[in-house]
Amino acid sequence: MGKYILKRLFSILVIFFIASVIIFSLVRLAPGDVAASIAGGGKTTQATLEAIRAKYHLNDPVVVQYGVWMKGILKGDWGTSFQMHTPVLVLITSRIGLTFQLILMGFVIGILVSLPLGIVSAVKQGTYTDHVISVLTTITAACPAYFIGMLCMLLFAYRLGWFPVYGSGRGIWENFYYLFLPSLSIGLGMVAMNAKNLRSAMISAHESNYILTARAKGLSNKRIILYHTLKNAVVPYLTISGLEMASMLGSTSIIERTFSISGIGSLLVDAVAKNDYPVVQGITLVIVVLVLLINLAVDVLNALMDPRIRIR
Amino acid sequence: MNRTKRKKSDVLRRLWKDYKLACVATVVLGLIILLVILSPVIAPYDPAAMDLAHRLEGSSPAHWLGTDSQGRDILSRLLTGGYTALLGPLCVVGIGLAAGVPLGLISGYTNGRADNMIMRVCDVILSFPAMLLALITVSIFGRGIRNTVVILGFFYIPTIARMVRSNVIVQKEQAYVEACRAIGFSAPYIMVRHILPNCFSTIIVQATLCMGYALLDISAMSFLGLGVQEPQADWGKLLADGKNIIMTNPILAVSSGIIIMITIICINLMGEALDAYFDPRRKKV
Repeated sequence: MGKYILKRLFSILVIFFIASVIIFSLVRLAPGDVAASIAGGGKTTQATLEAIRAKYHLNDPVVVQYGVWMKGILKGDWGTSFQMHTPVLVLITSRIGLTFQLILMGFVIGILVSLPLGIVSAVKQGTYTDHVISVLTTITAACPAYFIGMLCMLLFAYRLGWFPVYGSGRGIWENFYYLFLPSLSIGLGMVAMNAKNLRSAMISAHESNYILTARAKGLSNKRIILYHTLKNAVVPYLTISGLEMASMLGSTSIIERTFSISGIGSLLVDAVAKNDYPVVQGITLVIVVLVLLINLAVDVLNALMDPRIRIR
Repeated sequence: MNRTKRKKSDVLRRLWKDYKLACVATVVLGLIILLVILSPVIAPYDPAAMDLAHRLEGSSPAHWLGTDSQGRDILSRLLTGGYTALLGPLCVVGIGLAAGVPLGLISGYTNGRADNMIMRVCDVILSFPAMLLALITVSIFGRGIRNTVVILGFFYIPTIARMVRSNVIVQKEQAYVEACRAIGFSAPYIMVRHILPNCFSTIIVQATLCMGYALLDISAMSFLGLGVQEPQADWGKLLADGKNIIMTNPILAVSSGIIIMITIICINLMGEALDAYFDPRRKKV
């Protein structure tokens, strides 16, 4: 097991390295003078450009530039946002908590909805219930998360007044209330894929020989489904949930924008719109690391559940 | 002549019998496409014409779906907005196919160093959330629908390449490929003339499903203000506009959201039906 984790860690480090190179080259890929785009694209004096060139070692070879940049990242110097004139690291740490809470809540909602839906539709395969669930998942699969969000906003916040319309509260506890609608809309986005996959995984597991054995042993139907079928169907379910959580990190910016939540997602969209490269680089780096950690967690969990994966 | 005609109607009847939902979806999607294509003719108003005297009006005989915050007719904007929303996914998937299919073919057939390299690059790209990649690349190359489409298309390449590769690997072991090799056909000839046609069914299914995802992605980019720019209309952008006036006139947000939803549901249903048609084993019980 230890060896397996080490192997995964190594491949993650490789991917992180490639990703950091891509993120580093972002500014340099932009059309025009690099120093000018770091300065913010507006009118800048020759002296400022020279100062920037000296600070970022722009006259040195690219490899040296990357080394300087990476060293800064590791030391905690992530550059300064030229829109807000605040260190990038400070900006990110002050907003990331909100994004974390939003995604975790969305993930929990997604699991709580998709797990029963998947199990029920597999057990009641071909019945009326199965069809209703299939219609529901088809609709949520086609619904942009921000549209679900807006419908929730319209219904539960404006019309019924059950929830705040947008923004966030003070402290974690108040945020459970403020972030409920946003996390519901981000969580429902993963339901379709998860429920459909769990359904087909459970149906194919249910046709296996060991289920026949369990039945022959005289186990109850409930026990067979919960302990034998589900346990074997849950590995692909976990993998997909991990992927969905990773893609939530990408789509969180849309939901944060819809509900005017000031997490790192909306910060990223603002930074992209204003060409605030240091902020874009910083947030991308954070999200990439989080995605890689999620992938690692999924791999380890899968290996724990399915011994065959460890050996490969 | 008569015989072929009867045959055609038989085929249609059988398709209707087996794939009712998909037939309905095709008709609905066809209607939407037709309305969008005809929008310059049938749109009741100029979609960009502002009329500040009639701002934020509700549904009325003059404006079926009301007007937005600048007095523009929502129905006309919805019709013309479909242009980018429908053409965009086609281009995105087109780019993905144009590069993804050859890469997948080479990768699956050669199975050597080229395969390894192509797949590792795909792994790296796929390990990022697509939305994030699209966001940051648009930040470099600038906003606008053209950049968005090209960038999204680029990020569909690995998905399609992987799918083609896994298909080619299965096909490669078939007897007909061995026969081709025995005859002495060259590898490119076998790949293009024999393996590729056998992968077509999967490619068509996947391309259809990708189209739905692409529509979602393009709408999301326009929603964030990075795709289609003013004064052009686009379903995603209309949703964003609708969000700002959701209190006073929710029709804009709801109607543009619903049209996106219906289009994607139709595309997905068609994809699933094609899947079942090409591979009856996968047909839903």
